[in-house]
Amino acid sequence: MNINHNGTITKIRALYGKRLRPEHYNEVASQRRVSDITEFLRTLPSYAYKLEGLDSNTIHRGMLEDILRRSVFEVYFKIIGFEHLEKEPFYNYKILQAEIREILTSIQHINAKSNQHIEKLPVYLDRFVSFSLLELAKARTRDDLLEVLNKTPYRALIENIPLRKSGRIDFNPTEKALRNYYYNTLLGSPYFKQKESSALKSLITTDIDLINVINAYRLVGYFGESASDVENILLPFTGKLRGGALREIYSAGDRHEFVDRFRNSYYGRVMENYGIVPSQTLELETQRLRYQYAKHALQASVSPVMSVYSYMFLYETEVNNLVTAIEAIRYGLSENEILPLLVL
Amino acid sequence: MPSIERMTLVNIAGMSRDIDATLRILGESGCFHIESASKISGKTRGFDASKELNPYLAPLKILQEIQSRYDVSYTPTDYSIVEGQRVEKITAFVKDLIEKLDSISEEKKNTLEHLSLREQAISQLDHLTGLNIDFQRLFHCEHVKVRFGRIPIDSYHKLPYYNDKLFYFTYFSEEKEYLWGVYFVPNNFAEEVDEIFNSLYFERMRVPDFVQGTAVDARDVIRDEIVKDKEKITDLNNQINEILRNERERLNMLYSRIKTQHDHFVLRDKAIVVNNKFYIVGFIPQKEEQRFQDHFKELTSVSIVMQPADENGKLPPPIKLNNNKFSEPFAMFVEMYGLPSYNGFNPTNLVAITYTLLFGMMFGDLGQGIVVFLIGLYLANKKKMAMGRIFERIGISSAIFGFIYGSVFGFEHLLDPVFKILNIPFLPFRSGDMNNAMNILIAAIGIGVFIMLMSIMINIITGIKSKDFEGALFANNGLAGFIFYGAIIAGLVSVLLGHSIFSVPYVIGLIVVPVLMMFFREPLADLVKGKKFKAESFAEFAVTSFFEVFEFLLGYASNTLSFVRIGGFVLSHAVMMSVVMMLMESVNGGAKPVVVIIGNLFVMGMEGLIVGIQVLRLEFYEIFSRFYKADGRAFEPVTVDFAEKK
Repeated sequence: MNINHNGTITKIRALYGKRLRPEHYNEVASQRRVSDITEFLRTLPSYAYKLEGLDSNTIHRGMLEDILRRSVFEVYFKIIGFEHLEKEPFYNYKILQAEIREILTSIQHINAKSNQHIEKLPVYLDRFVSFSLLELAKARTRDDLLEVLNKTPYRALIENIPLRKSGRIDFNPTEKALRNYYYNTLLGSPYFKQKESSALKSLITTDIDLINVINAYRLVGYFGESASDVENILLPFTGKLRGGALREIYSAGDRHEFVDRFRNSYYGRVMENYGIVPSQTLELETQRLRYQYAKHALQASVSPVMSVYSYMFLYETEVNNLVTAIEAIRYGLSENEILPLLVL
Repeated sequence: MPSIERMTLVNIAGMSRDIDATLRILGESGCFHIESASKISGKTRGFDASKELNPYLAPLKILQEIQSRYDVSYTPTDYSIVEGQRVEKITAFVKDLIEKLDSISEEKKNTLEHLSLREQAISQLDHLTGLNIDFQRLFHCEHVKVRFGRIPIDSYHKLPYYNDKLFYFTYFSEEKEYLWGVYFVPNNFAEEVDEIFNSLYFERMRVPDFVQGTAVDARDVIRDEIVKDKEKITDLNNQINEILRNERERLNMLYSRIKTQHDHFVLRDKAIVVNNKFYIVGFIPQKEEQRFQDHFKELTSVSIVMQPADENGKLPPPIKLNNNKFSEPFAMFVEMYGLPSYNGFNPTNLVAITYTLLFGMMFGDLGQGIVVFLIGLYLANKKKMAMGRIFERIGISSAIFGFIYGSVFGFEHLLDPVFKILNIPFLPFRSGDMNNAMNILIAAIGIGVFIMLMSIMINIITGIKSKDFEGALFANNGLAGFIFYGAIIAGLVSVLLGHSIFSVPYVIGLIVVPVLMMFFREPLADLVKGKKFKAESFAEFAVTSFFEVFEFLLGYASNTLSFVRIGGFVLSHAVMMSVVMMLMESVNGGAKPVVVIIGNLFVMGMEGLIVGIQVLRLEFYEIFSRFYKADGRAFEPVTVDFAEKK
């Protein structure tokens, strides 16, 4: 961690230079078919090699989306493999993220008695994760799940949470336990004992703040949950929303009041500086704010850890934007309807 | 030679049997601008020639089909050899020819399809060569379905998830993202397994019926077929080419004849035929009268009556501009704005002179001027672009002014030895010298004043000629405006020189009276014409006239100041080149020429374009708007358009 990894920083800067610009998104949103999007992406240096060997005319929308999502990990492995960072602590955070995401997806399928987890399963990560992804997709009960997660720290976390009366796995506390584990592992990394880690810590706690805001917004806005119920699911980390500042927001009676209160909070004021107006689509606006934070963090970064973390967020957002555009085109949305859905 | 070609109105009448011969003569004369005869005679009774079916249309369409389908190019040629042939015979010939060509072409298309299917099959079979089984045997399995195709590698790794399903998949070859293979499934489970493979983005490949034996055997057989197909296509191409080679000359002659006769026949729409007599009307240039009549010597039944061009008020004569060699290219700018009326003023010479001088002044550089001239030579002679000839002229002007300014590609002292020898006291007049800046700006306004007064003078003359007394005498661009504007300018100059000529009689006589003339221009014009002036109300008339006069006065000031841009560009050109020189001095030896070349190219490209547009703006807005009414229509003699429908 103390070694100078300027090569990684330079590589990330070069990759960031090839990011999609607004005019590219305009072009993507103006396409009417998946084959046209594929053809257009092929013309961009950053996507040409990722789509090599595909037939634009026959490619299925789902496959294109899978390939784009897979490219997040390809880029990630390319970056950390450049100076062999994979052996150093912290850098496996994307794998942790992926493991938790797949476990949560599996729980959703188990609760819904669905066997479709396999369809979007990222089997390409099978050799990197600490359990078998195929076995996870086969899990149909909590016991199956615990069996798959045997010998992993996740088993104990899930086991500690009792089943709901309906026999289903209690999703919210499980999610909270898994995300707690993720952030504890992340912030417990030796890197955070160093002085220069404060910028990354601040970026991560900002992310947590905004994730808490969004989770609270969903519970208050869509399910009318009380402040104490909301409190139970929030991650026990805070960034700028300390000393009851977050509680002040989620104590709102409804989503309109929630947005009003958020507008007056620290992040509401920061959003104003970026020209982002908090509204009923608060998920989108907080993502836009996270995107701006990551952009600034990357531009100011002189540390490989910060560069990897912020760039990966930016690249994943780019991929999510493409997937959103592809889905929107599938549903026949026009260019003018698609562009406001993107995080820029 | 008048600057607008004098025209003659021609009335042609004859027996309807001679209409085609007449139209042909008109087409060949190259100087007849046809008009719709019904415009003169009003409603017609009797037979309408335009309703007759054009007999040349059918063969022409076939000839054009041959042209587009078989990439044949026609050029106008002498068709006297085929002139005597009957149209029906020609139609039969070209129909027969296109059928022959089409039948070969159809065979070629089928062979190409055959070839394409085999080429596709070969590319697929290349992936299946690992499978050493006879395809037909596989496809004849009674209880098992066989599906060939490719599966994404990611999906392949998901197959173990479906271990409990009854199917078997194996692959033979790998691509970047895919594995090529086959799965076998019992008929009873085919639907479910097909759905699974669908969800895994398996792309099924249909093996064509013609694929027999193993993949390797089939590939060899199909490769042989591909070779044969290609040979057959070459042979069919040769057959087509040979037919076209043999018939090229004849086709060209037939097209020339049929196209000419077709286009002449179309002109019947313009004629009127009543009681077996036709009537055609149009214009010819006055100077062509004799030659035109000579064409009809042998067609005795046809009578031609020539009248002055403006004899018939319903038909304003078309406009053909007569320009000298120097001003001719600038007609493009005039036509862009619109043609003058028949009795109007042809401004091409004025545009040519003012455009050339103003461009030269604003873009003065000996070296760059010569480059613009050379670009003009190239564009005009090699690319046949009309703009090239304008470039030649403005390039020379730019070079001359560049010499006066002493500037060569931005180098201000390169010509100093020449000036020493010439020893002319005011040369070089350095445009980059800030001491000259005020003189340049004053000179620019002076040029503007001169151009404005000249434009007003032209308006007075053309207005009087066309009996537009309001415009010529009392309007802002008429005599009143001329006196007012001239008096203001002369007065201001006298004040600047310290000998003011402003006095009460001067102000009343030359300033107040012209303003009042402009204010009362409508009643005054009616008075001159001997008409009684009628206004809705005096208040409305007074308010409207007040604001109009106010706008006129503002217009004089803003239009005069508009010419400051001439001086502005003289200075900006000098400043831009001095920046290039400064950049050159700031780099090392080897890079200096590169900076000078790029700097000059940049200035020529950017400033040259801006100056070109600005001068055109001055022409259109400051000059044309004062006197020019672009209400003419172009003189377009009837011709045969061979370039049509390529």
